[in-house]
Amino acid sequence: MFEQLKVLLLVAIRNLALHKVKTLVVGGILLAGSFLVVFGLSLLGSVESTMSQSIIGSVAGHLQVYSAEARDDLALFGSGFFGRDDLGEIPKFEDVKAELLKNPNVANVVPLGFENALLARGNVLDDLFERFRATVKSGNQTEIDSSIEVVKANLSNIRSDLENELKISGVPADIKKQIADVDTALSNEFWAKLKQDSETSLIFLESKIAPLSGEKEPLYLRYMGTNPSQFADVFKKFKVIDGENIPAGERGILLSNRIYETQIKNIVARGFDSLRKGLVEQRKTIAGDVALKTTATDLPKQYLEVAVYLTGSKRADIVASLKSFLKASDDNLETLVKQFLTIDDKNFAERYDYFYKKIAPEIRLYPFKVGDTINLRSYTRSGYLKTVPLKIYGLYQFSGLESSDLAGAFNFVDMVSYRELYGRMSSEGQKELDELRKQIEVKAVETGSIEDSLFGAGAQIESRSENKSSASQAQQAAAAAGGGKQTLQFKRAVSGKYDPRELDSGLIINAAVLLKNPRLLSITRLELESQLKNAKLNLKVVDWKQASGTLGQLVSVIRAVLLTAVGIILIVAMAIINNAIMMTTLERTREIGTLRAIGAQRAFVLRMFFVETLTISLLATLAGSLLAVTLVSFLGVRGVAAPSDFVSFLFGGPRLYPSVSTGLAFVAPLIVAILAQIFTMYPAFMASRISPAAAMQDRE
Amino acid sequence: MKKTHVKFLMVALSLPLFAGHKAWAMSEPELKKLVVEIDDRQRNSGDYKSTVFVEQTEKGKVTQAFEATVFRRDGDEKWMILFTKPKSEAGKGYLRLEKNLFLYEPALGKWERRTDRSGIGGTNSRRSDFDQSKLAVEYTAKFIGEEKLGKFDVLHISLSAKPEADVASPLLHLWVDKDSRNILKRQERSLSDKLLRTLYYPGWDKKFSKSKGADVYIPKQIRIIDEVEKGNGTTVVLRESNLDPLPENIFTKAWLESQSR
Repeated sequence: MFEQLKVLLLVAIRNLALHKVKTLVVGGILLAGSFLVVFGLSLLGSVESTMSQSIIGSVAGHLQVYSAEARDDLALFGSGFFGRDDLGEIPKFEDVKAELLKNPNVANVVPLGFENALLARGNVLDDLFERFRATVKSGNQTEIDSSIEVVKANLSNIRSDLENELKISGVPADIKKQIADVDTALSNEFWAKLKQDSETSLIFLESKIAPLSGEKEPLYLRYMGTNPSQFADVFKKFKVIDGENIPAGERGILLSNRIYETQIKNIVARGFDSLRKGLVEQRKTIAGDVALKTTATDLPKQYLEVAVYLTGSKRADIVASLKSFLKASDDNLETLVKQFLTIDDKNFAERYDYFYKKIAPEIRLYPFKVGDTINLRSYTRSGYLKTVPLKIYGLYQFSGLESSDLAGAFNFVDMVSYRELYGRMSSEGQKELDELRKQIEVKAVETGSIEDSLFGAGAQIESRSENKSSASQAQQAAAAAGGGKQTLQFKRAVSGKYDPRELDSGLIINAAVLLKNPRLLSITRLELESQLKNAKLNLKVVDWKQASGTLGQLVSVIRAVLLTAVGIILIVAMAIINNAIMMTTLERTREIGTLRAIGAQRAFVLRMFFVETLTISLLATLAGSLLAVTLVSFLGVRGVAAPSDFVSFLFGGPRLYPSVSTGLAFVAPLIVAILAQIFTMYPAFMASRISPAAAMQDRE
Repeated sequence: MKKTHVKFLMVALSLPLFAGHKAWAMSEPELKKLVVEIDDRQRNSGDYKSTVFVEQTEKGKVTQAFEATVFRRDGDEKWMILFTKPKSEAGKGYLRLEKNLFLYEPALGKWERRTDRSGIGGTNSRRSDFDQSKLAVEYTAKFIGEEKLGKFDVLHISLSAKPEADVASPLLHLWVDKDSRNILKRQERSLSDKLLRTLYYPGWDKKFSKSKGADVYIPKQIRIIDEVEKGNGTTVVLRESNLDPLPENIFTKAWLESQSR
């Protein structure tokens, strides 16, 4: 047996050596197929593993629970569609939490709910005039005089910009009107009037001049309501990097550091940051990259975002410093700033350093900082806009995912504030509402019979009433303005506190479930579904992949594409193998006939072909697998850099360190070799049927 | 700005006004004349002040309510709203000057400025929602017929937006009381004729305006039914309306700020 195998092996090697081209083609295809399977699936497996850590470790947990009445699927990282998802609601989180914790594999249940908020932003002139108003209010004449100079300098620049615009504008009448307004604000009479009637002058600047600097689109902030301290305990990647977490019982917001740096920061500083990333980290050039070129071209246009903050002595210092730095003779700050912000590949490094050393400390780098209060505005479930003032307690990021927009997509608020923004009324609010309704005496009317109720018998449409006397109304309002008879005045109650127990009771939208043993995820999911059903809680349980929306499906899609590609390669390879052996059979008819004539059995001929295919397929696929293992191991040490911020989320950080699955390295070549054997069967069977007589005929 | 606020503003500030009109026949010229009169009656060149109560219902349940005082000076296209109840809204205010809408948040002591370009208060409402009625300019009217609404005989007319008009509702239907010429019902429809909202005006207050030298009609109550999200609706109640002149300097930030010191 062993002797026969030895002979078959020698024959196979001899035949493979004799048909070098065929051997190389077949071997090459098998090697490529095996390499692709081992390398592709190893990388994919590694990405899946890091991505699951990113998703599970940021906001998803292992499982997510939400209402079975939801019209849309839960998509924590976006469904890929615009609009607001309808996820239903969980009215009593406390009941759901108690039920879920009955399962021995459930470690933690975190209440969640997410929405988008609007954060209105004024333009640079709004900011300038807001500060100017405060200065005027302070009554400090030295500061007022200094601020007036800054306002005038900015007005002169706006006028100059408008003059340029006038030359190319298709609607010169509008521009001329704007120039006339700026001229009014630049006139001595205007500033003389400020001393007598500051409000009229300020309103003129705020309503006529401020709009000339354009409109800043509101910032859309995605926020997640939760129990802040529990969230920090459960999600280990979560880290507060500035300030502190929102204390229990306090209303507040934790801003994503990623959003703070890439969307909230001063636009000029963001421009410098973005250029630094492109030029230093990604080693691109302004001249050779369209996006960087656009950023560089836009920078000088943002000069006001720097200039308006340089007031008083700062202004003179920066002018002197910039003149020396730029070797310029101009004394106009705005001109110097424009010149300074004209960036190219050569001057970037020194200007970046200068900006952060000299200019950044003197300007408002962020519109708000930790400790400030911001107005978060969001649409309630019924489509009405609700505003809640929230203190910024800190900035957070997820460790290893600092540069990921996806991981830093959420800003966290306490669940109580979330409910208020959602439109859920507190018991105190409900009581107040009831009293208000009672006072107004609004009659409840059924929609179905509204016309009969409003316009039926007894309805009177029209009545005459008299105005109060003119003196009464004017006096009343004037008194209110002057602090006299306070008919309208009141003190607004602002409360930031609540009972910490409220965080874990009441309405939520979804809940993250963290498991003790994640390997039992599928089983636990089924168990929880059954538990919730028995407890008559109409909820869905989905795993982290489903909960993350289109992102979670990404790996499955890539896997399907890869396996399809491998499948096509293998089908081609098998067709070539089949064809090559058929050709070989025809070429070797005489040899096979001779072998059969000297006593070789049909089984021997069959085995000869099988061993030949086995030899080439094993050698080629193992070589492919070895190549893939070597490359993956090399990358596992060196790491694969994430080409974009999105990919860094998939990689679980800026680099992916892939690892090889040992089983895959052996199983993949084996499967390919078995397939090759199957496709050898038909030509081998044909060869085995060649008779000695046929071989002789072939010779003739 | 709350969308609820916007909705009531759309009705509270537009002051649809109608005067008596005895001889009528719905020929085309007379229909046009009626629509022009509707616009004319909404014009109030003087000052206006009213206390407004707004109640929002969602799926049949009251979810929000507030009370505010509205000030308006039509001559300068200025208006102002000061929210007084509930506590969470009290002191918030909106001041319209030029093309700007200033929003005041007393908890922060800060103002925000929006323009009509960006949508008022972050909503999808337009500046036209707040302007005086220009039905005759923006719409083409068609007489549908005489109908019965409760015990009232009403004239049913439809209004289609002219192609160049920038309006919130491309298609309107109005039911006007045949005797008093007050609007009793209004429907807002989409371009595809889908019914979006129905508004009912069960009562009108008639006041004499010195600046206009004529009567001004102010709705006492407006019931707004959301026809898309069934069960949702808004009730607006206007009280203590007054057309007498307001103090000259009332439309300022300082005045509004002073109300929540």
